[in-house]
Amino acid sequence: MKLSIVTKINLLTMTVIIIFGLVIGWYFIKHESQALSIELDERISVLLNSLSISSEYPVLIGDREAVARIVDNIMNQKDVIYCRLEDKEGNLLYQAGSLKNELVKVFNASIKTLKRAKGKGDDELIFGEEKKVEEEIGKIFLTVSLLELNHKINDVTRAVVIFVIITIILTSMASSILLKFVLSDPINFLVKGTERIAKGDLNYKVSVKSDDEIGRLGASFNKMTEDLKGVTVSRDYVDNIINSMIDTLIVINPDTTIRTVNNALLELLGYKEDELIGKSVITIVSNEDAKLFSGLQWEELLKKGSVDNYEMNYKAKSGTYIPVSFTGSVMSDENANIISIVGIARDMREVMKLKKQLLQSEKMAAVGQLAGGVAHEINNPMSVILGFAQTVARRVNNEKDPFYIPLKSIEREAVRCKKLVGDLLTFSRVSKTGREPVDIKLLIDETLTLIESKCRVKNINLKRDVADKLPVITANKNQIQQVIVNLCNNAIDAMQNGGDLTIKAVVEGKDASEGVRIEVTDTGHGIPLDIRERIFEPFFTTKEVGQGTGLGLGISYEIVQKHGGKIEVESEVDKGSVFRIILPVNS
Amino acid sequence: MKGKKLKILVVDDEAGVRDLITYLLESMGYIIRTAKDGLEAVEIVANEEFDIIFLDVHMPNMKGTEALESIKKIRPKQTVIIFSSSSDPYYVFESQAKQKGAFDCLYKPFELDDLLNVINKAVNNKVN
Ligand SMILES: Nc1ncnc2c1ncn2[C@@H]1O[C@H](COP(=O)(O)OP(=O)(O)O)[C@@H](O)[C@H]1O
Ligand SMILES: [Mg+2]
Repeated sequence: MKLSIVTKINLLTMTVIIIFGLVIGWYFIKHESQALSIELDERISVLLNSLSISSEYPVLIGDREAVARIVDNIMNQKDVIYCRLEDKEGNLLYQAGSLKNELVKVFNASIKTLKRAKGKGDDELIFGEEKKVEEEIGKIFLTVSLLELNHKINDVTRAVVIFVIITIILTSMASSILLKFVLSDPINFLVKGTERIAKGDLNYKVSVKSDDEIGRLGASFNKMTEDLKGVTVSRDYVDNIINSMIDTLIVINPDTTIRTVNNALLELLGYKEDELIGKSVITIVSNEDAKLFSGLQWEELLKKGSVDNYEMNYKAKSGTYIPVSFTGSVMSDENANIISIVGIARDMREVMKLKKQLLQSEKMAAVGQLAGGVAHEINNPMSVILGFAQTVARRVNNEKDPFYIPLKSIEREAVRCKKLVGDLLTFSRVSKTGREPVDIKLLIDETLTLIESKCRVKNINLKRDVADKLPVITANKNQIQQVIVNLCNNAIDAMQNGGDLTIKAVVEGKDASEGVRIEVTDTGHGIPLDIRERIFEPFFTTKEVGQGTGLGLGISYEIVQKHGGKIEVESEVDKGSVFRIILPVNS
Repeated sequence: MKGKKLKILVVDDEAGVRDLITYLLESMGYIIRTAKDGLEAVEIVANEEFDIIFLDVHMPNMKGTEALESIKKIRPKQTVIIFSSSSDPYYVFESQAKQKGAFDCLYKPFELDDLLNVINKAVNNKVN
């Protein structure tokens, strides 16, 4: 049985108090009963004495009546239950009362008288004085009941016992209350304190303020936690660090169950902590990557001790894959037993996006470089071909002439080449060429007249939704126009059976000082997800040879980018697409 | 057209371009001379006067821009039309060329109308 120290001390003090009480009580009772019996003895001997004196003469003269009177008188005395007088031969002179079967005490005394000495006594009577001798003439027996005495003793005992019990109870109560305040509470505080500290709460202070050893213990306890704070990292502190990490953290047991996760991971994957702890790590990785956490590969990882920047996909609760770069290392105890694997995974979505963008701009730069190099060499022959073709065609200037069509064809194709070279060169011109204030509203109006006729032919409903007040932006007017034309041409191409083409322009941001947003919306066939990533690549086209160069969106992207803007696309297959350009007022 | 035939110098390292301009402008009654690089052009200009000079920018021996400076030194009032390529960042280039005294700038591959427009502009400028 476990007893608290306070209970033990309480028991001990109670035992001591009880023993002490018993001893005192016992002594008190003994002393008191002795006193009572002595008192009785004294009283009875006085009684006996007076009886022997008063009965001397009646006995001497044999006056039985007087004896009876005296004895009856005695019988009135308290506690006396039986009295008997005998003469010197032992004959009964008188008796009174009765002997009941109870606790009694028997007293006796002699009845004496003085007599003149006989015989040689005469010789001794020298100085005229009579020599006298005491002679026993009878005997008195007195029986006293001890009932009363015992009663008294019992009363006293009871009083003492009650007193002792009350004293014991009061003293134990007082001592346990005292113990509670002096010992029990402070110790409980300290116990609670150690528990809190064990849990890592180094900010916990015990409030034991007494002036004794326990108070000092409390003070040094507080000092200890204070000192500990300086030299240890608390659990809170570590938790805090783990949960402030931007990268996701996961601790995996050797059996691939999840042991710890941090907030970043929970946020990234959309799980709650208790949905993951104890589950297999397979829960949160893509099906293709699950093999790293099972079978041979897992064993190998445990053996090797680490994995570095492993590109894989986490699987969010919603089921979507999130590309991460996983770095893990094995955590072992002093005996080289593997405790767990600590893994950090970095969300690579943004990086991937940037990578793609970088790839895109690298591609464009490459195209630009190539174009820049080739364009110069092509431009001279192109000038000659185009120039001669146009010169001669103009000179012929007769549709019936057999050279007219060939010459016109050479001219037309040369112009097409010229345009292509010009398009390619968009990628190479890094300089901010020809920036001027551009009134977007006006620009859109001008641009729409360019495509109006084409729309009419293709049975396309051209809608214009331009805000009244649009900011004037600093831009290359031709280039911005080229972007809008490119987007409109694509939209028209996407609506082979007619549809709605809407050009919308609104203020972007809080006020007109920020920029404009231009949206080109069509009701065409839309862009399937699998090619949506690629449409801005130069030379990417789904159109037939001769129909599309795949440069339109690439050029538009490049132009918008160089204006410090953004171009986005939203599309639903068979519903249509929205291309959104955001241009800042000042790039 | 006025009685006096306009004299035009075409400076280009590309024979095709020289031939094209010659073919086109001679048929229009201009007197054409050609040079195949900047050095040759400067030599010719030192001895002869021209109403208009077409000057290519990208040439061996002496670049068009240097040739332009030299020509302008010899004849400060000379009308020079620069041939550039669309592969040059034209806005910057154009302002530079004009600062150095060029009358106008044509970008290869040019179309016939562009060429004729520039010549007309230059001729009118000359006449006035
Ligand atoms: N509005 C649109 N609707 C459907 N698909 C489009 C749209 N705009 C662009 N695309 C797709 O993007 C591709 C690339 O477009 P672009 O760069 O303009 O080149 P091109 O028009 O010459 O093919 C197109 O071939 C087409 O598949
Ligand atoms: Mg296109």
